[in-house]
Amino acid sequence: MATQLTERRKAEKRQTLVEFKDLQTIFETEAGTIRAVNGVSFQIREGETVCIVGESGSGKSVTALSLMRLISPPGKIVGGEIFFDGKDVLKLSEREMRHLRGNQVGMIFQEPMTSLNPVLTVGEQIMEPLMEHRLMTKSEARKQAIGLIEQVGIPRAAEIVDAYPHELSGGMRQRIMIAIALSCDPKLLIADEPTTALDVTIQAQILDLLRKLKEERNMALMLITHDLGVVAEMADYVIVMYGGRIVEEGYVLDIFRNPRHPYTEGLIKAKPVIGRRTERLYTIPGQVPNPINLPNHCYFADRCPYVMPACLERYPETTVDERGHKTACFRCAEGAER
Amino acid sequence: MTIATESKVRAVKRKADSPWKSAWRRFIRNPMAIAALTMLTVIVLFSFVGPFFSPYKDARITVKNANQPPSAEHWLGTDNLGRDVVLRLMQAGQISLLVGLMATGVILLLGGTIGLVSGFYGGWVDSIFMRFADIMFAIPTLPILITFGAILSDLKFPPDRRIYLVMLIIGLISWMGLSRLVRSQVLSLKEQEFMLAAEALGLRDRRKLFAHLLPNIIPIMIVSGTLGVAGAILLESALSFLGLGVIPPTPSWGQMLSAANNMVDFSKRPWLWIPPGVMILITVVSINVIGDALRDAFDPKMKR
Repeated sequence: MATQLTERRKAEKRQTLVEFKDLQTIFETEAGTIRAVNGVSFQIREGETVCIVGESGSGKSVTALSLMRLISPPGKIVGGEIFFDGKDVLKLSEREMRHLRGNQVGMIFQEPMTSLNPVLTVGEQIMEPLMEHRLMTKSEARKQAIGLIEQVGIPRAAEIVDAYPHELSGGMRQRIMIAIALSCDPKLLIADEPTTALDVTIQAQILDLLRKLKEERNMALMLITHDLGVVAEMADYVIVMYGGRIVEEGYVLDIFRNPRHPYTEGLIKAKPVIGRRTERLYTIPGQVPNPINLPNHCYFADRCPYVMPACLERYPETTVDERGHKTACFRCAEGAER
Repeated sequence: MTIATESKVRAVKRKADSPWKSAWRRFIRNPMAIAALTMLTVIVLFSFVGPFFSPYKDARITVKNANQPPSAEHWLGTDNLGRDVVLRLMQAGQISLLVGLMATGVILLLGGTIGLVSGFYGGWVDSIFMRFADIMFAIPTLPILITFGAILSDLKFPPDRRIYLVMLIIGLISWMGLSRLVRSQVLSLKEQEFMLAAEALGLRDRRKLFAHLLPNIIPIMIVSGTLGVAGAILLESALSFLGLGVIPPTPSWGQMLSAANNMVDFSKRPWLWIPPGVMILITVVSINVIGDALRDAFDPKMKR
């Protein structure tokens, strides 16, 4: 416990790298307005791994894409601020934004099969950001690319640099994606479900690689996932999203040992435990709320086992305990014992 | 066992196959494509190299030899001015092929650029270009050509330069199909994850357009360009036949047909109009076959 506390103190001394302040991103569809991200605020410190957890449609990816300003119509960022390294990302010009993307913030995607351009060699694709942002010549960039391929743990880098994506396996392609994202030494790497499309052994390798590279470069990592196993393994800090809002956030051990929001509790309960075999895995009853016309009370109230009258009246405020563990739930606000 | 391992090692060492190379390999495995390619090569050689071997290349117009039927001296006879039809056919081939090629160049440049730009930028740029294409599509080809031809005749455009204008005009009235094709391709490519990834790398538009989109579109441009050559040759023939294309004495296959466009030549002197007709037919058919074969070769679903 003591070491954990010193770790935490160390973490708190680090500088804030990214700060989301009341971010609002909507999608205007014919059926109505979808509030994909609805008032999200959190911080990522330098060198820290922040995991964002939640079901599909909870706004995890949209939060990340908002930081990169890659929300395309009908999507729109309608409110809030995002600070990266002290600058408000939402106020940058398109040119400054391009300088941020790929250079200071790298991003890897879920599907390594479709995230690489099929008609360019992997070398060409790694060289591109280097030539764009670092103004390298072709031969310098190529040398750098071979080095990067080695760093992401692919043998025979000098040959692979001239390979086309279709010649590589899924795991190798994801490594190449990581090499591309890291080519310009970004301060932050956004990984949007980087292991979802890979098989389990490869998943572990990719996570190991990410952790190693992150430590070598003192890079912050924003890891989007719905796999709590990945969270337990990687995260320093965890953000749980539901219906476009943060329902709970805190340091990883607090979240796992002492989940406060009933949704987080349900997520952890739904995880299979080795050695304990049950008839059926636990599932959270009910459905994710329809993103159009979200209720004006707690979004989780319909599925919550502890629902109270207040839950159906208004959305709960976020409360913070002395350990920095934030929860948006009336039960915590009242200090209810469970 | 050793042999198996060895061959595996060799397979690994083999240089990476670019999509172009594997498409080419698929192309040359198609016997129809090879036949058509051979045919086309023969026609090109016939047109461009053939004249050097013709004994009549310096011959003047000799009216006393006019309208002779095929013989040992003149394999395909002579025309109404006593010129050797074989030589005429070769020279006409040069013009027709050149017109086809250059007009296609114009089509690829115009249609490709417009399609790429309107697909990539979308919005009002897209609307303007595509409505313009719609308007161009709506105007029937022949009336436009006849108008152009009439204007050209009125402007007293030098006849020897007219050929370039014909290329340009053919290009200007046939880019729309390609631009729509390219645009729709760009629209579907834009939704691919690798384009989002390129966006996330902060690449500038120029690089996204030319390094990421263009290489993905080149196959359809090659295919439609090949087919376009055939179309342009036909269009040039039609133009020349109507007297709006190249002007005599510059020959083209269509122009040769047009020169034989009277009852006497038609019924009595088939050597004047059958050869150019056959040349147009063979050329267009071979080019179309090649185009189809290229399409098959580039189609990833055809991968064997």
